[in-house]
Amino acid sequence: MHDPDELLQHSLDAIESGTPLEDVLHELPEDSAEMVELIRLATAVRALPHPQMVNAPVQKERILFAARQATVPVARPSGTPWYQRIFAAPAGRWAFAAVAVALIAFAAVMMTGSPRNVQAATAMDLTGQVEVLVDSQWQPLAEGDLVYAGDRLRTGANSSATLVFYEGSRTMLSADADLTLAVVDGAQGNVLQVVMDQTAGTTEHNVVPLRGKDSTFLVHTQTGDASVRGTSFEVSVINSHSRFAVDKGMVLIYNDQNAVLLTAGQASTASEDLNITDPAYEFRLVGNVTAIGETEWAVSGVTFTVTPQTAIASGVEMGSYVVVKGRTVEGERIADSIAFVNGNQKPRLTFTGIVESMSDTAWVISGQTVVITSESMIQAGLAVGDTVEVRFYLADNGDWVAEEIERLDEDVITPTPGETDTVTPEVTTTVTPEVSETATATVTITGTIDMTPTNDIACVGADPQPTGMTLAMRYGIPYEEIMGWFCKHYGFGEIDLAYTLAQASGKTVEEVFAMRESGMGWGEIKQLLQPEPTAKPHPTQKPKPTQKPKPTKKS
Amino acid sequence: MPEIDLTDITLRAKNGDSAAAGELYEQCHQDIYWYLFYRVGDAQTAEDLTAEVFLRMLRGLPNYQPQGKPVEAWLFQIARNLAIDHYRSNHHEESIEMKENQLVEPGEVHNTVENSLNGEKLRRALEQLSADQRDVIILRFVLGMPIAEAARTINRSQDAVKALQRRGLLALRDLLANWEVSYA
Repeated sequence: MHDPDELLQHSLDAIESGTPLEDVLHELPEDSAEMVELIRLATAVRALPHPQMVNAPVQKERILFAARQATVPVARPSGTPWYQRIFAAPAGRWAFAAVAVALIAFAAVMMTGSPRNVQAATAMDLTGQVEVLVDSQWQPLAEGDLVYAGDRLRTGANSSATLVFYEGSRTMLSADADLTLAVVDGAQGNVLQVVMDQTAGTTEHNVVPLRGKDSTFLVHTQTGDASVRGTSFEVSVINSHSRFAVDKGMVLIYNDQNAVLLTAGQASTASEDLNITDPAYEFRLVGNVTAIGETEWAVSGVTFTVTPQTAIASGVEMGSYVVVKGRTVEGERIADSIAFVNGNQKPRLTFTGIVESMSDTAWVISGQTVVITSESMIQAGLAVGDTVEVRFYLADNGDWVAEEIERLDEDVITPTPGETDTVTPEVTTTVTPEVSETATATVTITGTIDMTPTNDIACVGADPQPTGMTLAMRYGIPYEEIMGWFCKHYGFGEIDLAYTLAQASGKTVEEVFAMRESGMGWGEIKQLLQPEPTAKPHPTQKPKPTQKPKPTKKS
Repeated sequence: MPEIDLTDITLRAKNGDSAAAGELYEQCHQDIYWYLFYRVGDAQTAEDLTAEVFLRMLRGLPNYQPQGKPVEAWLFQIARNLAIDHYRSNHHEESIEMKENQLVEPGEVHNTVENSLNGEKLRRALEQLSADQRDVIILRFVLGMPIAEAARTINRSQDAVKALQRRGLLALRDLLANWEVSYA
């Protein structure tokens, strides 16, 4: 027996079966000095006394109690309600008061205490096969497990998982996703720093508005990064490109060469050559494939264009039940992906766009006419210029008939300076909005904070920083000015937005940033500086048809 | 782990027999505790984590399938994950997960009058091993688990466990020699 692993095991087996140690050692080949040492060591470890548990009996009672709690059905109270029974006796009232005080104290501790797992996310809502890479091996992830920076996760087919970060932000991994948490960190005051690398599949992110300039939520793919401060968005890695779609708020998509800012309802793709498509409104079709042409397909009768870049799942054919995700580019619906539906998604046709005109019978939304009926559910208060999502069906005559229209909210960014912020601005903001069709807002800012970009741009990293160059060219200002703001810890998305709002409102960019420093959210600032046009009065909620009385059954 | 087949007991626990859950605890807690003690190195933490292993087992019982992984392997898997979580949440992992067979300088561990191997020295030496080597040494020589069962528990082939066993013992031998700890 030449294999030392086998020889060692053979000797250990002999000892385990009762052969005396010295006999086993005697049987070894002559040049086995090392093997002798290993066998003696193994025997010595086996002979060591090991510590005993101190609290085993108490623990057993705890396990028994937990088992009983898990298995004994809760008795349904009968007769007098529980709260009346408690309050019937004075002792019950005191006990109730004591419990209430304890609960309040507990809640206070929970709310004011330091979060325990700011450097981890909790895995929840696991379905199917969800695994984490541990010691180079994929191990199943269990409900409630903690996931740390450096952990790599993957989901199998028909599987999903949700990661919940300590301040409430969530990331949902769909089937066949592969994601590594590069950074997970936080601090009191809801400062959160999350960076993740996504190499496959689709992830959906619901980010609680981040607090403090030190907060980060970044999803990195090979072709582009998505950086947000508080929003809801989706990232899909499809073949060699990435697709980004935004449900709420704004997301900056960038790579080493390009950057675009997506707002609610928009989507964009980033390809291997680092090209990022312009923001475009999105459409999603869940249904059966009803036509397959060379470049034109249809799902549930709704046509769209298929390009060489469209990722089509293998096996999709006429009649397949699929989900199509795409963008409307210059009036043409272009599919980014066609995949089989995971789970129990119902047929659903939706698209997003800007309301261009409204009448009692039809609206035009980003060039698409949608028929309005008495059955259409329309969110109250919608006006021309709003970004909306439309759920519709295709009528027999080819009309798109609205089932539901609702506003897509861009205004979800409401961060306030976190506890780690060192800036204590003394800024007063007086807002006097005028309610009229040409609404304007008067914003008076008096402050003592230094609202000029720093000249020290040593914080840049790449020189020149490509996104900084893009923004400088876009607004026709010196690159150093952009990077000055960047070095004051503003994100490129914020800088982009600040210059956009400054241009639109006539304010200086310093004034815009001063508003931000005062604690205002970007949504509030945008609303003040770029008020939406007031639309003509419109009966926003269609009355539902009165239900006809059922005919009385004849006897 | 006990010689008896735990499958029936586990099925009874799954079907709501709380006494069966207590029996599972009775049969398995000592081995789980030893494993966790040598993984986390602190008696109280090991006790707490042992309780957590069984609480998680209770939560997972509704999904238990007798034809799946043996109960013992399932419990060790939970324990292993908890130990990993414990290290990571305490920022110890980098210092503990050293390269295979890397030696530390002698100094603080030893130099008692006898300086012979005991539980504490073993625990400190195990800290220096790779995670897989450490698992195999604990399962095989602390808990006395047969090679096949150890392989099933850590999801490795028997050949891989045999290799880890020898390399782990070699590393342990070198460490103890470096610390001048005797064991024969």
